[in-house]
Amino acid sequence: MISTLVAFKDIPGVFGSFIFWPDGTLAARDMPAIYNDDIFAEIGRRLNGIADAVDPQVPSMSEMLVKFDSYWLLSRRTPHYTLNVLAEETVNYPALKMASNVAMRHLGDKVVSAISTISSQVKLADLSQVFPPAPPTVETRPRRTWRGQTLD
Amino acid sequence: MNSAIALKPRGFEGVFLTASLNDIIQMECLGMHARVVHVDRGDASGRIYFAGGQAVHAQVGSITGEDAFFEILSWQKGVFHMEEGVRAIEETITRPWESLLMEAAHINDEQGLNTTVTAFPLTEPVVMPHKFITDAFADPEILNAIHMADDGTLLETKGDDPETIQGTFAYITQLLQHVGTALGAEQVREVHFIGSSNRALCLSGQAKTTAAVTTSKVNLTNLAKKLANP
Repeated sequence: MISTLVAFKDIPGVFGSFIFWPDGTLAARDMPAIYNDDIFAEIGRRLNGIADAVDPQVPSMSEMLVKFDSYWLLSRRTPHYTLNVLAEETVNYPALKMASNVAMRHLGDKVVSAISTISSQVKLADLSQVFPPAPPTVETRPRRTWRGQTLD
Repeated sequence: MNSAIALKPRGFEGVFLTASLNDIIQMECLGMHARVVHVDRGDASGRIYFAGGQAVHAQVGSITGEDAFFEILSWQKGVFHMEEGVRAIEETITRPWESLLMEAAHINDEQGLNTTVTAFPLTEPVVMPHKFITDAFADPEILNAIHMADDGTLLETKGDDPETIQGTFAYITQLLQHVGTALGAEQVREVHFIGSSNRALCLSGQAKTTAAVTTSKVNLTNLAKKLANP
């Protein structure tokens, strides 16, 4: 995922990018170190709140562009993740949009792979709880031997 | 008589000798200001209150309403000062300000007063600042829309439930302001939303917010330019 995010820096004016899981937790980031990881939890929660609030007016919102005074935030939303790119207002927006399309194609496979890995681990963990290891089998009949060798 | 609420006492002062008071009135109305203009002729003084792009109240002594407005407009010299954020409690004037100025000019002509009030040319109506908003909202591709002042006053609406649109975008703007602060960005100016069947645009600035929910055919960048002051 990081390699996908780093590619955004090919576009002049891109400041950084980050990805949230659907619950708003941070999945990956390529942002300057001045941004503490803690702030992303709040950002993720608020972006989810915005999607919920706007849903009656704009059902299944898939894209949001926020123009702040000096920065633009492009947020692309899918059922599996939200891709966010922070750029200066001088950024070439069509190029940024296309780069986000390309990134989403790359992220599609990676995210599905990550989710399937997580879900398979969850399944294994669950199965081990539901089906505990079988107890050692108890032999009821003694094995037959002849001249020191086992016959059975 | 306490007829106003002072919200933010700010303003400036000036003298009009050859400058016309109707220029000041036009400026206040076009600027959609919530202000009071105090006018002092020396032997008399009066006030004209503005809100939402209209003159809403005037007072000279015990005279109020249009009579007070026309009285003040008949004064040929005076000193004025403005207070920003002052709202009239009572609304004694309901007529559009263009019509008021026209009648003031007519009255002054009849009385032979040499005032500097000038009439508006009928062939070129003055475009109110929200006129282009009204025009933009008339687009059938715009489904619901609001244009509101920062104090929550709805200046222009389209659709059945403007309060819901107002609340939705006010809430979203607040959340985005927090996001912007966390990211080191400043004020939210413009937000575009694209969904499966609809789109939405929210513009903030100059003490007003405009939000519109549109069909999926609308180009939001173009709409933003249309809704911003042309």
